[in-house]
Amino acid sequence: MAKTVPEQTASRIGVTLLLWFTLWALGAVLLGSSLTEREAQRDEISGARLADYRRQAAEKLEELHEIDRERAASRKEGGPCTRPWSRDEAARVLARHTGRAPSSAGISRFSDAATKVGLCDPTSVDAVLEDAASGAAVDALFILLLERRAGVVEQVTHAQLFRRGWGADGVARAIRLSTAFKNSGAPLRPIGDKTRRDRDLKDVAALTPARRTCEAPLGRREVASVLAAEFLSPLPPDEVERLAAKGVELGLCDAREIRRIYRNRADQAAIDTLYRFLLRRLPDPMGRLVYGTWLAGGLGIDVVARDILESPEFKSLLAEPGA
Amino acid sequence: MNQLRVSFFKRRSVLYVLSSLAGALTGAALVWQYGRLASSAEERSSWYGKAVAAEVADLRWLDLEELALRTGGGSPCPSPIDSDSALALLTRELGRAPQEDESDRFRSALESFVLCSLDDVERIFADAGRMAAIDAVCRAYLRRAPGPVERLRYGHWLQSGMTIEAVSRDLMASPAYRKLARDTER
Repeated sequence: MAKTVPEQTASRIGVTLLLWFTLWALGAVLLGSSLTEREAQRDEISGARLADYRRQAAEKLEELHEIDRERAASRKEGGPCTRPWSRDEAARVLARHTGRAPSSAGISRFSDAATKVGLCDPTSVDAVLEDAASGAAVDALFILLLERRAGVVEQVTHAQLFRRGWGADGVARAIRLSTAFKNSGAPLRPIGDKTRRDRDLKDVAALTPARRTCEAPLGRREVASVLAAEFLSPLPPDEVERLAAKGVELGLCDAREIRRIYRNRADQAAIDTLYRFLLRRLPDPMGRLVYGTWLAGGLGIDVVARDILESPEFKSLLAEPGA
Repeated sequence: MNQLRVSFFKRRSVLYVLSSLAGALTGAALVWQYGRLASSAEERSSWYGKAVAAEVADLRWLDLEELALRTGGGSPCPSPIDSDSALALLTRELGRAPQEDESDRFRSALESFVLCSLDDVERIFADAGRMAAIDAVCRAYLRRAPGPVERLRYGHWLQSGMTIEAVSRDLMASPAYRKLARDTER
């Protein structure tokens, strides 16, 4: 049946509209695919740029570690062991220090690590693991970088580096080159965890009342004599005054208690390590006293680490230039 | 004939309504897509900016470790440069009398870089090649010439064997650079 004129016109309009919609759809598909392609290109470029930064950082870390090793070699440290550990001997040492039967892989890891750092017999391993100061220093770095304490094999390897004269930076570099650190995906620079900060502050605030309130102020002369025995150069009188006041504030009512804080080798080694690594300096007597009291009061080294990470000094070190 | 005309107009109106609806839908879809693309591009660029900043911060931390390794951490000077000489040097470098905070910063810089003699400091300022390099990166990143403390700091860095890339990263970490970058974005 032949179409009438209006029907033909309507059909033409319909065809034209259909054509327009098809063209629109085609245009949209083309635009979409071009945008997708551009997005993929941008992804590739940004991924490559980030990978390049990561490669540079990894290379730099390796390079610095190599310098550490060269310096260690120039100090004429003993090399690796000439005789490998027997499996039985390694298993006995591991079992003694972990308190459980070690796995076969654990024994191999331990004997390899001990051989590499020149710990060739059970006595030398015992000496390293019983050295509280090196152990605390290693733990401080592990907690800072990996948020956990070091395992026995890690403890042996890194405490031996401390005992051989490596600095906190050097040992930290060795930790950051380990598989455990690489698998953790943590950044190479130390970062704090602000979410735990409030809890830390509460713990610190609870520490002093948990100790006690001193009845009388600490004698300046007593404190000065303790400090003179602990520090090579004499401290100025106003510094002694500040330390005595801080001692009272921390609930240390006797100069002997201050001495006990300064003489706790393990705690002081951990504080020393954190200061050297994070603030690039030795801890001052005030820092030693405050953080030493925190640790003696049962707070963890992670609390100390976070406090340093939140300090204006650390922050100014992170963004120092532009003076 | 009249009936035919009515039928034609009815069909045409239906077509118009349908095509307007389709057009409106397509338009809305395009606007929605544009909005999504814009917000995703913004998210991506902010993620990328943060990722780059984190990588640069990692590298900069390693630069600081390298500096400590190269300079040996630095034990304090047995006899530091006296204040008058430091002040005279700073006045010469600035070309005017320094303000109090400027001279404090300069003195603390001398102390922290463990520069114990005037000769050490003069050697840094006299190294024209390095000073030119510092001037160039400072102008590139901070859009201004470096001050005496910056020339001293980076001159000391370069003299210790650090690279100009490390100097650039240090400048990128500065609050001044970040402020400039934020202002430029706006």
